[in-house]
Amino acid sequence: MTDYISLITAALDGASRRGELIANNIANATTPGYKRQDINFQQVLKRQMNGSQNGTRLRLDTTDKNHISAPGVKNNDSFKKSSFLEKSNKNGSYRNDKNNVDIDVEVAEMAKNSIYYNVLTRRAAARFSTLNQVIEKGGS
Amino acid sequence: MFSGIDISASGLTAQRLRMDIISGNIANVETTRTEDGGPYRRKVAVFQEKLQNKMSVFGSGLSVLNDNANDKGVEVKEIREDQSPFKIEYRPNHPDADEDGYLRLPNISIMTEMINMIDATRAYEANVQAISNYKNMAASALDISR
Amino acid sequence: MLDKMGINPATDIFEHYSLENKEKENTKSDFKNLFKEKIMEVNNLQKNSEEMTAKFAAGETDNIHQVMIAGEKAKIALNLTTAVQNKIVEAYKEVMRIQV
Repeated sequence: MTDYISLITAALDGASRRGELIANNIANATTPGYKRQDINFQQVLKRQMNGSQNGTRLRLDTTDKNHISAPGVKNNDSFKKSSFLEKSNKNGSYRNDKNNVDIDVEVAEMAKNSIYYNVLTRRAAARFSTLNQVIEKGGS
Repeated sequence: MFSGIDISASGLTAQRLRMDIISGNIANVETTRTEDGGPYRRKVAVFQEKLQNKMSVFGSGLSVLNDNANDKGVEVKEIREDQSPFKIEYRPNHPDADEDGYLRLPNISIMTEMINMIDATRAYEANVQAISNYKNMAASALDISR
Repeated sequence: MLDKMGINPATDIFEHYSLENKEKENTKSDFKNLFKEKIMEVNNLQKNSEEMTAKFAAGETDNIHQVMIAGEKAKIALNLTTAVQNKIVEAYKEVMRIQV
């Protein structure tokens, strides 16, 4: 049970961090010289899921100091490590101020990220509600 | 679901670029001097269906990060110059007129540009509506399970 | 209707023990196996739902409705089985109260 919840929590951490970065991109859409930033937290998550020893994909490996830790009370900033941050240096050729933010793409990414976040919070809520229900009603 | 949003986003980007070009044409309707000499030539954005995950020069920086990003939709293949002939007016007092007093002006018709501008705007709005619909669909899918 | 959705832990049990059923001698071991089977089904639905959510979290699928449907199926199966289990226990207690 806790593996599943930890996985969802780690994913939500990643998504909320990504939401911050996208919002920052939008805020800097006209800043000269600004390059868009993003994190591919799903890639990191996938790597840690696939490497797990006990066969299920739900447990996150935490054998390396660069791994995302299964979130405990202190560790909400697992994704704030700058090693996860990715900056795009591509320069769209039609902007003179060297800013490579495309506002339409940022808005679309924001929408996708929010949907992703909402699905996972629903899944976590459903799990907690099931557990509560079993505790209250299962077995008289 | 998510790739649908990417597709609409590519439409937004393409239409926005098209608007920029149209604005450029309108702004330069009387420009008789350019870097390579001669009047400004009307520019046209050439749209192409995006079939592969190649990053075009005019694409976003997104596909560097995401395997699935932007694998379909539309992209601007190139910005082409319209090769139709320049307009010629008799303006002997203009500094750029030739020895007979004729001036070559950009091959831009404001009317055409305005119509294209309305078209690009409508297309942009349609793409925005499409994204909004995707968001609604996702939200209603969430209602399947409390 | 529920069986068309692949959820049938409880109805099978009731079908099995309807009065037309003549296998009354082996009811004890049958019930145990039948119940075990249904519990396994519930467990599988649960595992499947977790897998779907894990896939979604990793970005391997973006099929939201499938993820939600898998979750709801697992929840319903569990609720149904819990309700059936409670009824059975109640029935047992009722029977035990009969004065001989």
